[in-house]
Amino acid sequence: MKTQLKKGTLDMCVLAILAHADSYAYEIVSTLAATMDISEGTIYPLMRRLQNEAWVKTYLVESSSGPSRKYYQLTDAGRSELTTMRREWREFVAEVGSVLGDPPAAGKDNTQEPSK
Amino acid sequence: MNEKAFLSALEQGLRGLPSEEVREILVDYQEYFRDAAEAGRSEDEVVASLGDPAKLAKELRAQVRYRQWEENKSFRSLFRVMVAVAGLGLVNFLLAIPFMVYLSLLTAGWVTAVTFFGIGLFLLCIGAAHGLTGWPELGVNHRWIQEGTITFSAAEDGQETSLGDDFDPSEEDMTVSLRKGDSVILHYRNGEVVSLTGGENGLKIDSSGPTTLKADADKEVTLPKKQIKSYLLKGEEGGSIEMTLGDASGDADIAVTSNKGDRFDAKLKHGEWPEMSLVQPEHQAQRAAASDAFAAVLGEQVASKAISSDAAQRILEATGNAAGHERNMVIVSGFKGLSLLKVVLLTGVGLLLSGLVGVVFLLWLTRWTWRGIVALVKAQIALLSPRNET
Repeated sequence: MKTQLKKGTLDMCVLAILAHADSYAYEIVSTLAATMDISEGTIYPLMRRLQNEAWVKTYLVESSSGPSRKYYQLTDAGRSELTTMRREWREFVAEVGSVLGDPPAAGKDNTQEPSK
Repeated sequence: MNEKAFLSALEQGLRGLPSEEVREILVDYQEYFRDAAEAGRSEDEVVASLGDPAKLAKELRAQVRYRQWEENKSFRSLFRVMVAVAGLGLVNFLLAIPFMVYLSLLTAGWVTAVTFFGIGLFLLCIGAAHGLTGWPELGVNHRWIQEGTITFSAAEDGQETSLGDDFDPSEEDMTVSLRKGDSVILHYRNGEVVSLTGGENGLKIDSSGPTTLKADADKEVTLPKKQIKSYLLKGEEGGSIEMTLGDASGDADIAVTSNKGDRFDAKLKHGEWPEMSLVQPEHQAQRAAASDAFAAVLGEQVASKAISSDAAQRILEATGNAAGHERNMVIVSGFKGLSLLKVVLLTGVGLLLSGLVGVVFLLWLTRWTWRGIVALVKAQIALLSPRNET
C-alpha cells in the first residue's frame, strides 16, 4: 500500500521541488531522500518520463570544475499539472482522513464538503 | 562494483538503442557519480544506492522505445515497445503465448484473405480479357484423345494384369495388352470394323473390310488414333471400356462398365469440364446422392476383376488431369457442363467476394487488436514509475 501510494506521489514531490527552484538530479534525490526511502538510480527514468510528458525541461550549466551539469526546470504544463496533483492529493487525504475519523484538514479545501 | 563497472553494465543493457540516447544516459549517471563524490560519498556506496544497472537499463530501454513509438507509430516501433516491456518481466509470460498464437492466426487470416482476393481479381481479369480480346484462350483441351497412337499386343502367357490396368487414355501413345479372352472392337472413320482378340499365339485379327490390318514383327498392332472413330475394350470377365471419339477435335465419350454392371460415363467436350455420371443398377437410391459420393463410389462399387477400381480411378483422373484439373473428380463433376469461362468468372467472383469480406473483417479485427495492444503497452509503461524498493 505504501509503495503504491508513494509511486504516484513521487512525481508530485519532484515537481514540487522544482517549483521552488531549478535543480539537478543529485540535489533532487538528496532532497527526496531526506524524507523518503527511494532507489536513487530510478531518478533518471523518472526525470526522463517527466521530460517526456513535457512537465520539465533541461538546460546545461557550465561548471568551473569539470563538465557541465544538467538542470531541470518546471514548464508551464508542469506547473499546472502540479496544481492539479496537489488538489487531488488534498482531496484524497481529506477523504481518507474523514473515514479514519481525523479532523478535516485546515479549511483550505473548498471542494470537500462534509456531509453532516 | 565501481563506477566504471556500473556504467559499462548500464551501457551493455542499453545496447541497440540510438547511440545519442545511450550517451545521454551515461553522461547523466556520470554526473551523478561526480556530484556524489563531491558530497563525500564513496563509489561503492553510490553504486549500492543506485541499484541494479541491468534493471535500470531495462526501464530506460522501455521508456526510449515507448517514446520512439510515440514519435513514429509503426508496427515495428510498437513491436519494439512490446519487446522492451516484456523484458521488464511485468507481463505474465504465459499470457504471451496465446497472444502470439492469436497474432499468427491473424497473420494467416490476412494472407488467406489477400490471396483469395488476389486470385479472384486475377481470374476476373483473365475472364474479362478473354471476353474482350479472346486472349488468353480458355478451353479444356482433350487433344490426347486423337493424338498419338494406340498399340495392341497379346499379353504374355499367364499375365494377370486386367484390361483396365493397362488403359490410360491420357497417354498419347498408349498400349493395351490383351489376355486370352480379352478383345477389342475398332470402328474406323471410314466405316470398317476390326476386332482383335488376345490369345496364346498372339493377336487374332478379324477385319470386315478391305483393309488388311497386320501385326508387326513384335506381334503388335499400332495405329494412329485419328483413324479410329471408336474402340471397345472388353475384359475377359465382362468389364468394358468404350471410347467414342467425336468429329470435332477433343470431343469424346468414355464409358467404363464393370463386370457387375456398374457403369460410369465421362463426356468430354472442347472448352468444358468433363461431364461425368455413374450408373449403378443395384444402387439406384445411391445414384440420387450428390456427386460427393462419387469418389467413394469409385473406390468401392466400380471395383471388379475386369476393371479394377484403381484403373477406373486412374481413367477418371486422367480425364480430369487432361482437363487441367487435379485429381479431384468431385470438383470436376461440380462444374458439370459449364464452359471454362463461366467457371473462371464464377470462381473469380466467389474468391473476390470472400476475400473482400475477409479483408474487411480482418481490418476491423486488426484495428481492435491494435488498440488493445496500445492500451496494454500504455498501461505497462505507466507502471514504470520509479519503484521505491531499494
